[in-house]
Amino acid sequence: MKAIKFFIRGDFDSAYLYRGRLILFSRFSCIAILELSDIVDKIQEKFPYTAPFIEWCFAKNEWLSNDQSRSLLKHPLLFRLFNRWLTTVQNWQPDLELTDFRVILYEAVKNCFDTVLDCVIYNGRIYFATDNSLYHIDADWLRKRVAFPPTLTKRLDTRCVSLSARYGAINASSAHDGLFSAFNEFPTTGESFREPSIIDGPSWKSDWCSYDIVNYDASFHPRLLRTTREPVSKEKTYERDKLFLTSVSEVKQPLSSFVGKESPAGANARFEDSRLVFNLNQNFYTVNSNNEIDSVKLSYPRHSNRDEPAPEPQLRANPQNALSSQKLIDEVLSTCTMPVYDGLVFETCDSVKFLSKDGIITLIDEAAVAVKTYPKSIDYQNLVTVVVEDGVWLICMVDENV
Amino acid sequence: MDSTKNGQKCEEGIRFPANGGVHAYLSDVRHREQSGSGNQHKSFWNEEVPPEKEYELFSFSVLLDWGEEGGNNFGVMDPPEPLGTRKEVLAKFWRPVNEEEPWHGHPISPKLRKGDAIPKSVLAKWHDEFIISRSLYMKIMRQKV
Repeated sequence: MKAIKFFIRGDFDSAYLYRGRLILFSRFSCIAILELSDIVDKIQEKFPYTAPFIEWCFAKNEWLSNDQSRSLLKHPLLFRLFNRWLTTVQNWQPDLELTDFRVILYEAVKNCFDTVLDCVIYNGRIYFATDNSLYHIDADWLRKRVAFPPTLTKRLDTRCVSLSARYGAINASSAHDGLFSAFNEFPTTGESFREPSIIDGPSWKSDWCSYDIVNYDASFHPRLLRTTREPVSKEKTYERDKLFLTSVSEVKQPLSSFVGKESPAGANARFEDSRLVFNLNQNFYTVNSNNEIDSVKLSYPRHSNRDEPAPEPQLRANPQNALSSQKLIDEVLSTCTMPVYDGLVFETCDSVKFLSKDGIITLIDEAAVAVKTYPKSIDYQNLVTVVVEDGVWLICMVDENV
Repeated sequence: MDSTKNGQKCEEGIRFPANGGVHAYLSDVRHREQSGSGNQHKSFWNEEVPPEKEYELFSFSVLLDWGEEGGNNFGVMDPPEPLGTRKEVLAKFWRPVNEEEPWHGHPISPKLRKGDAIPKSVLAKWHDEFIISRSLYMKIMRQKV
């Protein structure tokens, strides 16, 4: 596995990739938007030897994350060229300035907050969690030059530390103050936004397990919040989601409680004894005190008779999972999954590393300010953005064996 | 009372007298694991932070004004290092109700306790004066440490 990366110097809090753009939240409370195609063009101008694959890695990235591209790259000539290119650029780490690129600046956010703690873009809407609030902005991404409204919308008046969005809902973790959620975020004209309401106790992170919400009230304590949903009407689009959430159950169950007849022995103990838990959809990973990763899958039984209550999901063995039986290291501060390579990007106090079936490689050798992967994206499945003290790294993970 | 390097041993711990603008300070034995206080809710200084180092951190905190006007003070090592037995990297120093009494302190974790949040003004000062990195600043903001 190789990491191709470049660095853009600047003072940022957070970074996000969306619809061909790199969105940067500046430390001085403004949003900078850069076109990935412009970045790649400028890089190719400055470093001609990076062409043509640099474009495949960062601007037309889907070529590296689907089967079609893999078969194309298996052609002997292309495979040879690509591997030669990888050898040339593997230690290439250009240092670029924001002023090297065409930048759209959105400054209406100035003076509204000090620090952006997390951001997520869903269905065209930029949500950002700050030290004092949750805000959103509806940007028009279809225009050549992204257009913004003159003001931003404040959604919640409390510090938010992490966000997750899907199925027409936004979840905001507010540490000790709890998990807030707003459903039906894109109502038909005339309806106003719903105030996010508290749906669970302390929350540092939330994620999705099928259509349900997983709340992490500590790095090793996931709880499942069952939801109800309805189909999205045909004239609407919620990214690729076909259902939207309508409510969340009052009952919040720890993952360790979903033990049934088909669960592997000690499935509940794995959660109770772990020092770190993370999930990618229904796959849950536990890390024990010896740093060994184990995986179980939360399976939802088929539910054909709608008159009866849905049966409880059950934890099942997950032996085929690539991360199972891998070993992590001490002091992991946060994790982000990269399903395209069955990999895991993780942050320690002084580095960012990548774990896959081939072992661990170091991506960045310094403390990170913010790390993001894009597991639900089509185009950026193998990209990582890492904000550090003096800039942002864009990293493309490439399997040289295609 | 027995004498240590700078302080005097007493029943409650080690008492450091007021000195050069720094208030009197008690390194409270109840925040030392060996005290056997048995209180699982208390945080404890780790072995790398003996009472003298605890007092030194308190002195920095007072002299560099890492507190709120009329309120408590806070501490962090430069560069940051674990202070507590639960890897806490931050400390809180309590202003006594009665000014005659000494201050005392212990390691804190905003992640473990809501009441351990660092005031914004103190956090901004640490960041602006390069006492802590942007990375640690964000981790404190996100209540991840």
